Amino acid sequence: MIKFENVTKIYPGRGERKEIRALDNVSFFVEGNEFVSICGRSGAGKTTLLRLILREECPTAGKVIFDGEDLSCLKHAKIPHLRKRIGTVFQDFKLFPSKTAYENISYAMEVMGATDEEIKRDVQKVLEIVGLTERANNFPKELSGGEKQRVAIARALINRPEVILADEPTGNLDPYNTAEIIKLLMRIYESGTTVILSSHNKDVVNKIKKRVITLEEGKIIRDDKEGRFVL
Amino acid sequence: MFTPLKRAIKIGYKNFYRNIAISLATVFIVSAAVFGISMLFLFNSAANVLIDSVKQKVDVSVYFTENTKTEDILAIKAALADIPDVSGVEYITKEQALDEFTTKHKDEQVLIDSLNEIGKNPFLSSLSISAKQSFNYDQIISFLNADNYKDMIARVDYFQRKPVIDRLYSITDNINKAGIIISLIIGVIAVLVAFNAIRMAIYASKDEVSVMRLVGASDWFIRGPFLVYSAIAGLISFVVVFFTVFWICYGFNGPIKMIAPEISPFKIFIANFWILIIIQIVSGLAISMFSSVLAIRKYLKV
Repeated sequence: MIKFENVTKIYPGRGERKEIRALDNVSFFVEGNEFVSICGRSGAGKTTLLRLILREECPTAGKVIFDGEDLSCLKHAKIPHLRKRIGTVFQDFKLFPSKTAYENISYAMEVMGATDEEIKRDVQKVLEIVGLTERANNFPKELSGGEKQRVAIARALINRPEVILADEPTGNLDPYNTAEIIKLLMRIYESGTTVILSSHNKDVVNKIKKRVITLEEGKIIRDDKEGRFVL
Repeated sequence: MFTPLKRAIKIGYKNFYRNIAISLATVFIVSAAVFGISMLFLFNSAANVLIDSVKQKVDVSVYFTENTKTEDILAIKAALADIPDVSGVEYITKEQALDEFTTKHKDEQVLIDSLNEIGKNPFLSSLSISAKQSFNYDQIISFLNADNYKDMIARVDYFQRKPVIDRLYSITDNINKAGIIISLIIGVIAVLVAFNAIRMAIYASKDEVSVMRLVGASDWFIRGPFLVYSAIAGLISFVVVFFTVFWICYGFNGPIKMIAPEISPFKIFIANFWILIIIQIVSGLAISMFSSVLAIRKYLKV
C-alpha cells in the first residue's frame, strides 16, 4: 500500500545553518491493514516520513508510492484527493479553535462534499465511537487534552480513510488518556484501517506489540514484525 | 454542485460578521467608489437632458406689426417651412400669446394689473422658427430681410443655441474628466482597503487554512469563502449606495428644479432605474472581488 524506495530527504542549509539530512536512503513497505509504529528519538526523521506520505514534502531522492502512485509526481490539484484517503492525528491536535467538536468533525465531511443528512448521521456515530457525544457542542478550549485528541481522531476517521497517520498523538497526554487513545487506534486498526503511529514513548510502542520501524539519524536501524522500542 | 457553493456562502458569511469592523470599513470605502461612479452616471444623464432641452428651444421668433393680415403671416410661414435649414414653424396669434402670458403669470398680480391697465391686448402675432442641427440661421435671416417683408415685421429675436450648447458641453466634459479622476482615485483606494481586509482575514485564518489543507480541502473549497466575503461587501455597498442615491435624487428634486427647471433628479433616477442598479452591482462586485482575487493570489498559498 505504502512503499518507500530509497527515499532521502535533505533540508538545504542557509547561511550559518547546515543542511539537514532528515531521511537517508530509507526503504520499506507497509501493507494494507497493518499497524506500524515508527519510533526514534526527536529529530530522527519520524515526522518527515509522515509528511512525505501526506505529500506535504517531496523527497530529495527516491520514491514514495501510495497505492501504486508515485507521490513525487503527484500534481498539486490531486493532493486534496490523496489527503481525503488519509486521516491525520497530531500531537498538537490541529483543531479549528472557532468550531465546536461537532463542526471540527463535520468539516472533514463537508470537504468531501457529503450531504447535510450524511454529515448528521456519521458525525453522531463517530462521536459515539470516541465517547464524546456529550461534548459535541463544546469548543476545543473547553475540552481536555484527551478529549481534543479524541475529536482529532474522530475527524481523521469520519471519511473512512484507508490509512491513519498519527504523529505523536499521545505526546501531550497523561498516562490514562494515552492508554485511551492507543486503545482507540487499535480499534480503528482492527476495523480494517492501516495505522502508522509515530512515537518516542517506549511504553506505548511496547504495549501495541505490532511492527516497529526504528529510525536513527534518518536511517532505518530496525524493522521488526512484532517489535519493541529498542534504542 | 450546489452543496460546496452553499457551504462557501455559509463560511464566507460567518467570516464577514466575525470580522465586522474590517468588513464595515471595506463596505464603506467600496460604497464611496460605487457612489462616485453612480453620481457620474446621473450627472451625465442630467447634462443630456439639459442639452436636449436647449436644442429644442425656438431659434428665431418673428413678431408682426398690428396691421399684418393673417393670410400674409400664413404665407410667410409656408415659405419659411420650405427653407432646408428650418425644422419647424409655429404660428402664435395675439390671443394665444395673451393666454400664454396670463396663464404663466396668473400668480403675479402686478403683471396682471399692468396688463389690465393697458386696456387692450399688447401682444403681437408671431412665428416661432426652429432650425436644424446645423445652427445655421443665414438662410432664415436673409429670407426675413427681404424688402417685401420689411413693413410687416416688427421685430426678430434670435436665440443663439450654439454658444450655449458649446458651453454646456465644455462644462459637462470638464466635470466628467474630474469625476472620472476622482472615481478612479476612490476606486484604487477601495481596492487597496478591500485587499487589506481580505489579507487580514487570510492572516487570521492562517492556522485554519493549514488544517483545511491537511483534511483534504481543495483550493477552491479554501478560497471560496474569501471570495464570498468580498462579494458580500460588494453587494452591501450596492444596497447602501442605491438608497443613498435614491434619497439624494428624491430629496434634492425640488431645490434643483428651482435652479434648473428642465432637470428633475428623481425623474432621471426613475428613467435610469435598471441601468443604475446594474452599474452599482457590477462596480461594487468588480471592486471588491478584484481586490479579493489579488489578495488570494498573493497570500493564500494552498
